Amino acid sequence: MRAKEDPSEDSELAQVLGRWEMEGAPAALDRRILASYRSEVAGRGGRRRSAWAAWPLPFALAFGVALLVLGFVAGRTMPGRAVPVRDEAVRVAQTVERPLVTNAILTGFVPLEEVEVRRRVPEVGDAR
Amino acid sequence: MTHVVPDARLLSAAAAGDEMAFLVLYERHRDPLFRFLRRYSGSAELAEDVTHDCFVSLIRAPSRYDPGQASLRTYLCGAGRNLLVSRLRHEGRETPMDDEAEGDLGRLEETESGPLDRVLAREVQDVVADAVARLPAFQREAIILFEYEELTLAEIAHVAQADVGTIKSRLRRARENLRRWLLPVRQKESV
Repeated sequence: MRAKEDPSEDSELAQVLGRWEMEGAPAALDRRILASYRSEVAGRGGRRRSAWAAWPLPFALAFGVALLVLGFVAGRTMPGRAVPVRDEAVRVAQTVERPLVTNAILTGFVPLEEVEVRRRVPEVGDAR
Repeated sequence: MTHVVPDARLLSAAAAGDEMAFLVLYERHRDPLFRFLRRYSGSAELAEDVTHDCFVSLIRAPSRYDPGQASLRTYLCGAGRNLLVSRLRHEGRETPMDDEAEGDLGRLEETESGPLDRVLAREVQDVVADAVARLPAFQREAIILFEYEELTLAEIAHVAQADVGTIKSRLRRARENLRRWLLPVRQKESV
């Protein structure tokens, strides 16, 4: 089936080529590859273990920071801790709309409409 | 009836640390990969090193193998071929990948006035090995994978990162070369 896909195949030539026999891989290669495989797998396991061993400290730090951030965010948004809207409005009003004239300043003040204003007409002899 | 565990499953288990799964996988693919690399490079030492590196990188990065793309054997041959080529390049021993059969035939005829004259004194096996080794690298990998490792054209195309038409062309040119170079052997065989 494979021969049919190659029109140039030559069975006689293939037979001659077949005289070149080749032995398989040497046993030394088996030992070498197995040693490399074991080393690779062990190294990977070691890297994994060391990664786990190194994990708790950063994990604890990260966890602590995360807790702090959560606490801060929760503290700002919890209803019991929030400033009541009405009080806040009053505080703003007290700051912004502070009266310029206080009661102390008005002591002794007489409303303008109650003051009697008399116009003094100059007499003839006054000019002298 | 024997139950054959798929390569992908064995690989996944081996990568997770199952040594038995690795050994089954290794024994399944060790010899074809080693033989291909040995024939392709002409060096047992290099073939051994590259076979080793192929399996180690497979365990290190098993996700690189996609069972939907190719069989593990094809994948390993492709990985081995790439490792071998880059190794040869790095060591300055790069074999020419030139695909032009005409030029190579010319070079052979000029430099090797008659290597096959000694065919009676040498073993046929050595002569065949020499002839295959003299092929340009693209033709060599195609003929080795087809004739010795019995990969399909599509699988060879996957290994060589080429299309099937190119592989057919390389095989045709490789056979043309080998027919000429191995003529004395063929004549001797037919006597």
